[in-house]
Amino acid sequence: MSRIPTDNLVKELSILGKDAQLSLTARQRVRDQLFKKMGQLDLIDAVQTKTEVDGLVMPLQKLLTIFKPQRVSFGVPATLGIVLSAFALTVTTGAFALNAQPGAGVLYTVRKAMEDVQVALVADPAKKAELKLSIASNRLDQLQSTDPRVLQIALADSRKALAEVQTALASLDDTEDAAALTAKLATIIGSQKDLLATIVKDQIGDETVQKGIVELRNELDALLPTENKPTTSPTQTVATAVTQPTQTPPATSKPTGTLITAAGVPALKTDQAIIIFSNLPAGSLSQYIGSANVSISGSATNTGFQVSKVFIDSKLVWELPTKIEESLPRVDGDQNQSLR
Amino acid sequence: MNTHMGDVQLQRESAVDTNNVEANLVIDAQKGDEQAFGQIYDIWATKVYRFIYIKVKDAPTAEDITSEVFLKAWERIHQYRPQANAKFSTWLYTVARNTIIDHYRATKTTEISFDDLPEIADLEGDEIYQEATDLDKALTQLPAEYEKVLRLRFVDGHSISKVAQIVRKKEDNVRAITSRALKKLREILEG
Repeated sequence: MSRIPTDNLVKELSILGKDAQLSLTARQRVRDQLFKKMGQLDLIDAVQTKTEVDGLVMPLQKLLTIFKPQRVSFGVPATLGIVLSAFALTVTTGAFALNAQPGAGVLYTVRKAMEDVQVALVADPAKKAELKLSIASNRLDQLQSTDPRVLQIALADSRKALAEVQTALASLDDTEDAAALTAKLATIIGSQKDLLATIVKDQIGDETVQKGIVELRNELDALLPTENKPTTSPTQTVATAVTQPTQTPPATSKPTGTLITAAGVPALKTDQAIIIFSNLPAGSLSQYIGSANVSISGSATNTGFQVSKVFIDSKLVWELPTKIEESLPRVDGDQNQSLR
Repeated sequence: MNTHMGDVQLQRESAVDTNNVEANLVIDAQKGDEQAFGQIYDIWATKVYRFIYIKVKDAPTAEDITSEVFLKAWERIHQYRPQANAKFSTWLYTVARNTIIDHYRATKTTEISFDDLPEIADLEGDEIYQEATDLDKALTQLPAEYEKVLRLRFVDGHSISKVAQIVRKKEDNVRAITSRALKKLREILEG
């Protein structure tokens, strides 16, 4: 009989057991791991043979070929998680691709490729539209950069992303999903238009950026549901919103109702309508949400109702800080002309 | 007689067909066909895994090394050249052996010996591992109760309480039997 190490007989005995056999589950697990690594090798090769100027080094079709579901004879497919994690774990790009920003070169293009794969692998039209909306929202967030070069890329990508959202929403039937996504889009657009007004202040003098902002604002307005669309020309909105914060009707009003939230933003529900406070971010006035007998003062503008005071049972509980009003961008004289 | 000869002939033809299929898969994989390589994996994964497990005796480690073996095979498959005395499986097992060695060198967890590892050429048949055969034989030489407890506990992987339930004894008894059985098994193996 051959000599078997007996100092650890317990471990030796396991070679007779089930652990010594590769189960179906384990076989698929190893298979997924293997093909993920193989895909990484291809991606590394592709990244290393191209320069950053060329951008994405692998067309989407090739990516899908690499990561198409790998099946054993019993029909166990690889999971979406394997596909997505493959990008996050590539040797050269690391996990940073997931959060790469415009201006990050290959990392940013890998991120966009990963998002394309994500969208391509979602079959449900409503879920696909929601995913595209999420991507568009991320693009719009990138407009907060102060780097003009990054801002230029972000503007272009935002417009492209919003166009895709528009197409995706238009393809949905008139269902609850479409209504919910449209409301979400309206909220995103509302907050982004405020952001764009701030950019105007910071980027005065950069004509390309200003032109891009105006074009983006036009497209944002076009995406708004009909009842939210501004009544004046979008090109005038930028100038007038910052030079004359109060538009007709300028008179203050004191609607009364219950304080609620609409898509996260505070709003007043009256008997006739829901008045969204367009000048407050999501999460504001949270301690008063649900309160009844709430009245407000402020002014209706082309961008929505701008609340200045909130009363509960006729008692003032909140007032708009004057510091916020002072931070509103001001564009005067000749600088204003460049936006028209 | 004719039926037996016919069966043998069928087996030979089947083996030739199988070899041809595998040869074509290897050729396709060498051209970069990942689907073909996937089929190669499906054919050889369980055998390569067992080869590795016999040595490392740890399932997660064996799985990791199996994955590494096939990844290396994918990277180097263009180096494989079919020869009369070196089939693809021979080449694959060689990659596996080298990967195990690399693993232990990298982890430095234990000294390894490949003295007991069967020659790779022996694996072309039914992959009968002498280690496993000897162990199994030794178990059968134990008293029936000893053999049953050891198999339930360490081959089937049951807990002491479960083994006690199956053999209808108290847990302390099972522990005592296990200790005596292992000692007896060691004597048989070293005898």
